[in-house]
Amino acid sequence: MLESFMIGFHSIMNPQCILLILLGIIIGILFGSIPGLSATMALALFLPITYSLASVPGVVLLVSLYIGGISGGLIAAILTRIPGTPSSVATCFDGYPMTQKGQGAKALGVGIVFSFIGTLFSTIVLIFLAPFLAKIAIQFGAYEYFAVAVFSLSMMCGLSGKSMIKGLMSGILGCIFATVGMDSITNVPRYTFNVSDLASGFNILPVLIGLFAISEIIVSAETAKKASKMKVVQVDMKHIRGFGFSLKELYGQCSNTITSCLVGTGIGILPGMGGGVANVLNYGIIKNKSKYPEKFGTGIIDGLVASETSNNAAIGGALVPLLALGIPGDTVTAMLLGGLTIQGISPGPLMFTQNVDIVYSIFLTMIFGAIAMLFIEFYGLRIFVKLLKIPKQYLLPGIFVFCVIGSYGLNNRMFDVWGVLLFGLIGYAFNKMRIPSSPFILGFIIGPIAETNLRRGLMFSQGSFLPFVTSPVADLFFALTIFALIFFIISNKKHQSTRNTQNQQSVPSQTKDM
Amino acid sequence: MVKLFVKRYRELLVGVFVGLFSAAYLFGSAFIRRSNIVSLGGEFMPELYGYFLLFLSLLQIIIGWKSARASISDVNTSTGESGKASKTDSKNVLMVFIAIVFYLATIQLLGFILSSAIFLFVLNFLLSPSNSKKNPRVTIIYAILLPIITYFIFHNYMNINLPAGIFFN
Repeated sequence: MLESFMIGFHSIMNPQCILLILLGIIIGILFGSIPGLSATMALALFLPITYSLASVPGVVLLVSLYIGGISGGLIAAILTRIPGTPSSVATCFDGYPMTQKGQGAKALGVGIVFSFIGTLFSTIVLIFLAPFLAKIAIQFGAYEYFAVAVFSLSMMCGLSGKSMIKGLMSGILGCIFATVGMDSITNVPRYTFNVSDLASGFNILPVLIGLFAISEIIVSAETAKKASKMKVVQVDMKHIRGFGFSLKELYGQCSNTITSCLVGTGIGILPGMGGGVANVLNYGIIKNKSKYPEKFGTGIIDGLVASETSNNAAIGGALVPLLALGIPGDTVTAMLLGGLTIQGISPGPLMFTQNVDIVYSIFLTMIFGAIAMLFIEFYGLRIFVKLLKIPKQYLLPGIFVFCVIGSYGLNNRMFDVWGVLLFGLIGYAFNKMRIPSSPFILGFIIGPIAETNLRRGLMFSQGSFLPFVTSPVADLFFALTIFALIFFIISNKKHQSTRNTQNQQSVPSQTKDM
Repeated sequence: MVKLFVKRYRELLVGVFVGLFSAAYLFGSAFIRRSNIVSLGGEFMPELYGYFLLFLSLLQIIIGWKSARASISDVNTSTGESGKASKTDSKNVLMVFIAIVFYLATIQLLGFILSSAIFLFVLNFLLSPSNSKKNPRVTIIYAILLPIITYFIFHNYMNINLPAGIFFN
């Protein structure tokens, strides 16, 4: 392992990579902090820049953007009460009340330091767990990969939000769009309508850019004319010592930090879930376990620690299945998968033997990136706060132009650019119909993996399904799939009954008001 | 009127729309060439996805029908939200969409720089809040400089040959 680290160290210890880490962190924080922009969008925007870079610098830039993007969300959450990214929703609960109490600088300090701790912890888990998992996964055959793919597809239910049916629809639609093109086993054209450009199917990049960046631009057009200026609370950063909190307060959060690190990393590892789920879920766990749950939401650092540690811990967690199995943990890692594929690298167990430099560059970028994030975010805060005020009418059209370049540069053809518009419209339609977009991405990526391995497995077994159920690893993943489905169905029903009760309670009170 | 109809029957419409899509997709699967060499041909997964999506759309139609009926009875018993003005600006969305289509359609003819400059200027106008101060000078400088700089960087340093258009060829 030490030798591999040295290879990674030599790969990134050059001015170009160091500069890209700093640049990636700064731009990532900026994208994370501006509501409406996200880490996914930052990666989409910078993918075309990685075309001309070598593999290591390209990956270094993308990973740095990811770390900065997830952490940057806390700035807007604490200063404006608008979460910069879904990963910082729970940060608003205690971060903004702290700002209102005049503890804005302390809230930012706590958020930044615990983001750093979360990233570092999950990186350590990633360093030890990913190679171990890859060693096991290298022995996987078609049966086992099919079972892993089925388990990953079951996570569509977890990403469904309010309606499981709509989430599943979105996921299946993702699988459907992935069937366009030549069939990977028999080389038969499917849904190509004799259009030569459709023979290679839709590339992942236009799908991601369209669904997450273009649809956002169209959605923002709905309210653009009536938009009001964002109110940003001014925080005095001049008279602050250290990161704004005492060592005693740091020690007091030991138990919360450990729980948050474990929950965040665990949620991140599960395919289909990321920081967005981790921060809200962990906030609830920490609140329930606290001796003073009634104080949560009034502006205490416990809530902030819970949210910011867990969402950053999900970063390393999400990279575990991506690097070890080639399965993205969330939409940002799906974007990373796209970036690696563009560089000609296929994530999975073979990466640990064939692309050691890339794997260990990712590990080291996460460590150096976390350290850079700690200082850049805290000491550059005044600049980031100013950048928060950049009008969207300048930002969004600029982003669109970059998206066009990104998709055009993929194959130097307009087909991919039109593909971006198509998936942008699908994303907008999803938004209007309240259908979640994340399961679509999961279906688009995992659907073909499931199909190829099912059919390949059946070719090995000469049409018999028996080997699929006699493989112990496959059985384990099938059992996990059943367990996950039961869990999601129960939790969905619970949420639904809670919503119904709330609705029933609100109706009499409204009648009373009238 | 249309907005109220869409609001009331939204869930039902989702089911109907997805149902029609799945039926069309299933119809398309009939045109996939069958193969006797492998146990599962290229048509297997599309058929599986198609039938599953059709099943989901039927469930959605049932849910949508129930919620539409519930919303009708709600309107009868209470004032409802129908009187509230819609916050969305559909006309602006349509204008943005037209601007995007025009941009993509003209990018090869006019070239990246010219079409992007026009697009940036138009979209800046469409996305500006009506109560904000207009600064056309800044907008024009931004709309001209951004495409020129990006074209120069991507063309010279990243080997991406963006369309030059008929005027610059």
